[in-house]
Amino acid sequence: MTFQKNRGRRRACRFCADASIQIDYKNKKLLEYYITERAKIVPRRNTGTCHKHQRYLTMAIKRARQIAIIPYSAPMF
Amino acid sequence: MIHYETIYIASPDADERKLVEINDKISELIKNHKGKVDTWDDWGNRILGYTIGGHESGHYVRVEYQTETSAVREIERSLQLRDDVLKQLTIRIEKEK
Repeated sequence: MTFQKNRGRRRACRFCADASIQIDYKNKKLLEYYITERAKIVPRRNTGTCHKHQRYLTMAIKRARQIAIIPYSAPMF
Repeated sequence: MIHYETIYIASPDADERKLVEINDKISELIKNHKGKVDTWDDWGNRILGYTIGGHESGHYVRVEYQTETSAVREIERSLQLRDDVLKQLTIRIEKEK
């Protein structure tokens, strides 16, 4: 998944807009959206996530890596 | 009492009997520290994000419980000593008021 910079209009934070989405390190599908193909964490300037939720996301991604739900890195082809 | 959550990955070759043995050990340790198990959650075999000790997949089990801090140290230690547990993670859960 690639993120395009949205010039002019600011993207709203997905988690602020919809409070029902819980950031959980066990939710593989959600976290995969916020990591690149090389398994790096996508910066918030690209995703539009607010500071608070980016912090929670980072924490969740790092926990998920520890328990092998998502990889630390992906091999380069 | 503090709420904790432990996830461990058992080796994919571990059979039903071994899993029961691990789970019994955990619940025994919790009971010894006057704690209480809230939920057992068996995720079954899953593909790992990266290989651990040559294994591509592992059997995930999640336990949610409330106990004193001293029990967590013993649970982590008992899991670490086992060969059939590939990895484990214990976190403290914030309960919403």
